[in-house]
Amino acid sequence: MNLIKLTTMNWRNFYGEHEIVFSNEENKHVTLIHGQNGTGKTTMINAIKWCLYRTTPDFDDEIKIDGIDNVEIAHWDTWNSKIENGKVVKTTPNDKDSLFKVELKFEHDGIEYRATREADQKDMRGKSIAPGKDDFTLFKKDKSNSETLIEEPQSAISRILPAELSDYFLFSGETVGKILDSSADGGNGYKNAVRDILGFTLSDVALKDLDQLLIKNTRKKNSLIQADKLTSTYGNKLISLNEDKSYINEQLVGFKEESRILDASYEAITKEIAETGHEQEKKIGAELKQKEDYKNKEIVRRIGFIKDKIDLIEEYGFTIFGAFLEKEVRPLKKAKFDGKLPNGVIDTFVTDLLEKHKCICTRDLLEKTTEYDAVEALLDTANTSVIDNRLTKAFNATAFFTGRANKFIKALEGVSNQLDKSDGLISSYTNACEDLESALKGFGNTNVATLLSNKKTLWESCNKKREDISLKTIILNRNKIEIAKIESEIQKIQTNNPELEMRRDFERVINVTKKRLIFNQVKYEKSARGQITKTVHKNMLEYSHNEFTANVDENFNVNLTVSGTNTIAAGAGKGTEMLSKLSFITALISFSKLRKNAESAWAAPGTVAPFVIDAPFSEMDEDYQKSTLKFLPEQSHQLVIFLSNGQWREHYEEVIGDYIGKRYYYKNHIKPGGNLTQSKLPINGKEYKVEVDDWDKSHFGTTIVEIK
Amino acid sequence: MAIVYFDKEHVKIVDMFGDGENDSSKRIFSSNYEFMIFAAMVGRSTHDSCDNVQISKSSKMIKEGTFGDKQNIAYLLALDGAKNGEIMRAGNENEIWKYLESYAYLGCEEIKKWIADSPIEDLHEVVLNKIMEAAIPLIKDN
Repeated sequence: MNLIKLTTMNWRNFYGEHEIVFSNEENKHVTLIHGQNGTGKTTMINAIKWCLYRTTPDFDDEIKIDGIDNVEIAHWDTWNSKIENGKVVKTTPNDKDSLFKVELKFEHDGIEYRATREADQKDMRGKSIAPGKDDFTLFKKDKSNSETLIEEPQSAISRILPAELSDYFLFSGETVGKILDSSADGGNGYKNAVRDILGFTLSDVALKDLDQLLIKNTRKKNSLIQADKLTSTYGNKLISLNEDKSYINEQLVGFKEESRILDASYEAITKEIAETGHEQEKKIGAELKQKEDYKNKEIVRRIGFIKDKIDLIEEYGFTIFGAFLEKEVRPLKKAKFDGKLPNGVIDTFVTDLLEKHKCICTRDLLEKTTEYDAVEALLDTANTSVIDNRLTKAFNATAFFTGRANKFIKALEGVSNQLDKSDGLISSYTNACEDLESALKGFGNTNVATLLSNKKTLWESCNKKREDISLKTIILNRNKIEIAKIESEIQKIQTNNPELEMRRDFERVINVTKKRLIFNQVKYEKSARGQITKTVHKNMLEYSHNEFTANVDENFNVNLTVSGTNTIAAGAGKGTEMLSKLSFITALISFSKLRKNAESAWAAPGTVAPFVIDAPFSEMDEDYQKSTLKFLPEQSHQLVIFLSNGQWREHYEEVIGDYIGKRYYYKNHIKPGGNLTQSKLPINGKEYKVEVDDWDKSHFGTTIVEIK
Repeated sequence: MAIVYFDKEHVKIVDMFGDGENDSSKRIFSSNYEFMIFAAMVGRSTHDSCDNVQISKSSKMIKEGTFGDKQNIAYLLALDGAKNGEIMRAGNENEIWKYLESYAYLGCEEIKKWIADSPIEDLHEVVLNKIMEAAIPLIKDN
């Protein structure tokens, strides 16, 4: 997918018609839009989202619970104003001004599309349009350049770029952290979205189908076992155990979903506490949320330390238990050195004598003579390159063992200390959270007290659900062992039933197929993670200010780590964190593009879409901002950046200038009596006025000006 | 190419230590072959011979090539067991790898005892304690 042109009509603060033409030129694939804060950078990204998916996420904050209900998109009453004696006076609203519309032209797989969504401000209900009141159309251009209306436009859009994946391509600043937070939705949604972008969820569907086939086949197989007199007792047990298994599996699916919802609710209530009450309460609430975040991060770090500790077993265990072998084989090593192992005669030497028909004692070695046979017999005991090579390998193995005990103990002490520190931090965060909760309760605010009480209940429910899952998993494993035992007993009984054999063969085939699919999934996902991590490492190595890099774990979480280790870094700073996240997203998009034409039988091609971002630069210093502007264009195929004027520096031109194919700035038309800051935007030696006091009927709100 | 097997009796323990654990953050060995190397070394450290070991082959099998650089350990155990370089001759692969397989059997038996005797719940802690016990006599003053 490539964006071609966005046209808006009465969209938020962009009164009338506005357009942004996106660059699709090779090596000039960046469209840069400069705008002051609060003048509509995210608004334009939301225009794309609303047009394609009918969603406008950032309007949440404008909805008042008890006051004004509806978000103003067309601002039609505001637009219908005039200036009288230097003041703005409202006039009678014009009905046509209450209509708003967004049109997006884009290309996908060589076909040009035109999507249009329009609605009326009068039909706004909260942050959405009343159901059925908006009009969405999608046209595609054929070869003769004429347009054809697509019958089910929303389904077509879903096939091109599904809504749940769009968050990974259409970013507003604050959502970068949010969508990369796998804990926010219980993990699976995030992981699956990333896997979907890469095309890896196709085999999930196949696995589900295979499971269904397996269930049906098992039922039939068990009925056959039950029907046979020799095995009917086992058949009854198997049927009962399989019914239990299905029931427990269903329960587990439900529990996991409930657990996911509970975790999300807990996260939401923690956020709500931070936003409730008067200033002091909010401050403590925010601190509480921060401490909980720290605690949760520390818990993740602790898991990493435990993994580091576990890894010591594989790294050092065999060398320590086998250390004494070095002494055991030392005499053999000496014998080899002395040429006595296995003996001093080398096969190539013997072969050479036989080929030349001459012994070293100068006697002739003629075939079929006693001398020839005697020399040839030496080959049976002669040393060979295979022996030599294997002996060398055996002795080399002992080289692993030297000094490993000291290193092991040092490494174990190191990781144990980190674990102790981590435990200490978790404990101190827990105490701090308890103190802050007490302080919050102390204000006597019933709303906050209720929220805290609900939070406590939720926490208990979350833990209870985790225990339920754990318990059911144990029962399920026992059930599986029991089934395996019975099936093994049945195998010993000869039933001579061809249909049963066929069912068993079918079961084996399904299990082998499943195993292969899972093997491929693991293999290719590991490889994808490896390649994405490699790109992230490259960026971090080049641009990070500190010794931190970032790793991508099995759930596609991007974690800042201390270079050269798997230890999760603490205190890296938000700038470094944002750098790693942006780096991950571009690496993901870049890798997905590589998979665009993948013809694998087990995975779908990767998703290709433009990267549209409201640059989240507020948490980054100038170095990081410049670095980001350097690697984003290098790793995207079409990039649209909305950049705050306050964060633009002329020297950024050095890194991004050559990639810019289209460039715009927002011009704000200040109302009489409004504050004119005289801000100017410096680009390539020119200064552009971004605020003007020419507010009138034809110059409202914000306009978009192209810089050529 | 030689193939080595875990004994049927040890399938559960292999699952506990090797790739039977789905949660990779809890997995003790990254693969079954790494566990076999470890178990074989444990077995060798507690037994001077593996001559009497009879394996009842389970479905947990590993091909020689899978071991990569760790093949060296199989050669070391075979050389130590045979005390003669002749065993390394081409064609003796089954005999060579038999040592690894048999010592792994003895190691699994030993590990089973560790688990049964230990009051500690965390499997990795049980194993780390045992490695520590084996490491202490080997420490050299720097």
